[in-house]
Amino acid sequence: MKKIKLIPFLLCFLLLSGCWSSREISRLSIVLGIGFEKTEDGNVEVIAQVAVPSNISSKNGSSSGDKNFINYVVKEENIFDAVQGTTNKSASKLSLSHNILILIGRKAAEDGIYKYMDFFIREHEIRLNTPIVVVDGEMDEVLKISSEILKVPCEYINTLIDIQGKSVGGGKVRLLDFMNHLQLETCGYLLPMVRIDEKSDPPALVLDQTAVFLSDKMVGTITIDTFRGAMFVNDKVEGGAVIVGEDDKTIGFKLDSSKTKISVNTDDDKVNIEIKITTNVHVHIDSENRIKTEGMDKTKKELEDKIREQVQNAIDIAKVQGVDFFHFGEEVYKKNPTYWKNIKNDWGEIFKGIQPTIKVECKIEDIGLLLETALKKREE
Amino acid sequence: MLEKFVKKVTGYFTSHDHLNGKDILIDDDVKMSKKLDKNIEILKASMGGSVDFIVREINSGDSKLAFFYIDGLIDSMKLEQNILKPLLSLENSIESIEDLVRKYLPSSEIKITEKLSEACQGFLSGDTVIMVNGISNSVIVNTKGYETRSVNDPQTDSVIKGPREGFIENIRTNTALIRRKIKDTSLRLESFTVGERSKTAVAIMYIKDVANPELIKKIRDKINEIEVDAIYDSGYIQQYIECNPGSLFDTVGYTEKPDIAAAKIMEGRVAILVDGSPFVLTAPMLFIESFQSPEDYYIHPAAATSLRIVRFLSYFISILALPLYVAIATFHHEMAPLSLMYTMAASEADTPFPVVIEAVLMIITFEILKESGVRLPKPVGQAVSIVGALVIGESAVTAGFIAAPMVIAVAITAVSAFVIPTQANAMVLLRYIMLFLSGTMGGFGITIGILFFLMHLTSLRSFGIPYLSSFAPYNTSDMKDTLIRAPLYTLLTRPSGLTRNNPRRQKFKKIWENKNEKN
Repeated sequence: MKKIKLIPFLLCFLLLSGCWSSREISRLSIVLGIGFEKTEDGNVEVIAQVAVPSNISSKNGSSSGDKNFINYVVKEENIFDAVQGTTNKSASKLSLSHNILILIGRKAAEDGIYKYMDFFIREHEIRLNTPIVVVDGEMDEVLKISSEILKVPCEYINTLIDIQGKSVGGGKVRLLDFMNHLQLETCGYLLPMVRIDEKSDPPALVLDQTAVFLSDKMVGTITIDTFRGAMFVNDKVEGGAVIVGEDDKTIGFKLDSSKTKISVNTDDDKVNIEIKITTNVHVHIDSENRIKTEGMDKTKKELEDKIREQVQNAIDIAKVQGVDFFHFGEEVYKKNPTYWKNIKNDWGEIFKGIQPTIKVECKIEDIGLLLETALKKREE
Repeated sequence: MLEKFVKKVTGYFTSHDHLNGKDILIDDDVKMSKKLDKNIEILKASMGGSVDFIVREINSGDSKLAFFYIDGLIDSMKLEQNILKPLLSLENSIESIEDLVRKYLPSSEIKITEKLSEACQGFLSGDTVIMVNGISNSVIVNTKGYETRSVNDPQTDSVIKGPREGFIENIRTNTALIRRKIKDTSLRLESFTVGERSKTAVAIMYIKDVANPELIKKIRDKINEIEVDAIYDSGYIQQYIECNPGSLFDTVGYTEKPDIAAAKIMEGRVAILVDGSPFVLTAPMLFIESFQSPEDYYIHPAAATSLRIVRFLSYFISILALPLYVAIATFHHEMAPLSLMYTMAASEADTPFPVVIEAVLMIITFEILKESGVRLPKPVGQAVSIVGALVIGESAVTAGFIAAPMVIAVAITAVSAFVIPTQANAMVLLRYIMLFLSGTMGGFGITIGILFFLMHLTSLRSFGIPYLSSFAPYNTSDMKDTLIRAPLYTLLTRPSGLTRNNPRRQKFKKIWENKNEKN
């Protein structure tokens, strides 16, 4: 009997809490991407791209007038006020838990990004696997461009980064990677950079450059070829093609896998670095029948030289910029921490002087479904 | 306060009984008189002039005899052939009642009694009572002949492969159906009469050397303790003998099929049969029994195992699908993948109610539809289902009342509830509780709810055996017949706990090797 009397009281306690901390899904703004940029007058501009679910998920396909997303742009003195401002503007709570992209404006990047990124690192709703991208140009304009299939710009950019990862090298930097990069001894790292492709119509976005960061400041850019070389060193190449040969006598190789091993030797009080790249490839294009006529070994040699050249180029450019985005310094630190302590402060100079040995070993596993070219030339 | 009220109410009823008691009530130990006229007078008075109570007096030989029976309960052919015909052709006078039985009555089922109350019960249950002037004994001859349903396909426990006969309302047929499955001398049948006025026949069946004697004693005692005026169905007995009546979960099982009842008796359980009910109770009942179907044992073990997993899955879906949907939509948005988030947000955007209210409305609507579908006459039922499907499924969504994913969640909840019919009633309440918890506290509430019910289930006992047996307390050999159904030749022992003295079901035999030798 006493127990039964207790039940209404217990029920009251349940009801007293109400629906505490509940948020109705219909009153929520699903943020897909959030970006910041430094304005002319030194304030911060925050852009939040919010999805319009009813247009995205409508079965009939949204008519051209209906937008799939809304960009809220707010300029404030600090990033917290700016994010709060977007909440006020959208008149609903921003849900950052589905955020798929963090965008950094180029001006903010050149100025130093940590004071902004601190907000994202501390915010509990943001996932640690959210990719980060640098935006070259007006962020507001970039966040208006989408493709036919991916109708939300943030998803579009995200997919571009993924595609680049498959074809060139895994340049994707997630929030967690970014935090790790900030802890690096050598302080240098790369972030993908997106810009509007002016030549394309309808407007499209490209990732043809990569931003080079030293600590939390952007110090320059590298081209896609240099990036490829850097990815070979960083062991982040998953696939893509390597073309060798001049003009119309080219052979196209497609990479099946690539493995890089960096070994460091500091015995003679000098940093000696050896980069060993092992790749498996298969022939993709050989219209001139070069493999048959010149032999497998020769073409293999050519391919190895080509990769070595790419890597050497990347290292040369890094030396010019003075940023060790290959993390060689990390390898030295891992190999010999006491030695690293001594040279740590001079690493910028030492890095400019190092001459890594690059060894490339390719294995042609397959020449496709043809033994030799299918085109029979008529004897003249 | 409450006690006073109870006293008042019970007082009213007892005094009411006295008002009706103008007619003569026959006590249990009243004996017959030697004078036939007096006996007739008493019986007529006690029946109070009911028109279906027939008293027929005949003179045969030198004796004066009387028959008592209830019109409609007897088979007149039996009465004529077995009683009237031989008794009308008597030549000598009857010395004693044994004399009458031995020489003249060709009926196979005969009982002699000197108590008037037993005689009353005899003709009230369809027998004919014969009294002879000058003898203080009466004979009860079986002339039962009332209409019963024939043994056919039961409505519940239906199987694709397996026996199709089902119990009927007649207890004697039901005991015979079980006897036919187990032709063993140690299969015992004990009978009771429950209900002061209904005098319903109740029987328990068990195997003497398999069932736990303590269990039999416990059930026997509980049935004897029942003091109620009438019993109409085995559901009455089920509620009176249940060990934990406050619990949502049934601790007594029921079945409509003799093969299930026989299998449970073989495992050491006790079957309780009630006259007038096609449902046979089995006790004790464990949680796992709800997920076992007789068909599991008639088909390939792998197929049976996959069915078991489906049943467990649908049990959890039926309880948790809706609460989880509510929790994700109101508390844990980050748990939904982005594309699902779009769909949910898009469909919830235009609806007027919060998600939890929507869920409660939908589940109540479903319960209404289900209840009306069960109760309504069959031709109307179709109309109800059309209205239900159209109004709830289609129009509510197009009108923007209810979100489409909610309809899906409710539909899967409803459909999976029917997979485990024995738990269905508990599941309805469980679902409401979980829905309330998830609506107020989200995933945290669901966790609390699950923990609470797990605690309750582990503490629950059915006739002394832990309800979650073989899971908690864990028993490896019993696990062979839970989530998986191992091949029959590996199920060597009966479920532990049920039987003390005879746990072994079969000897271990390598049947696959024997086969190879033959080939």
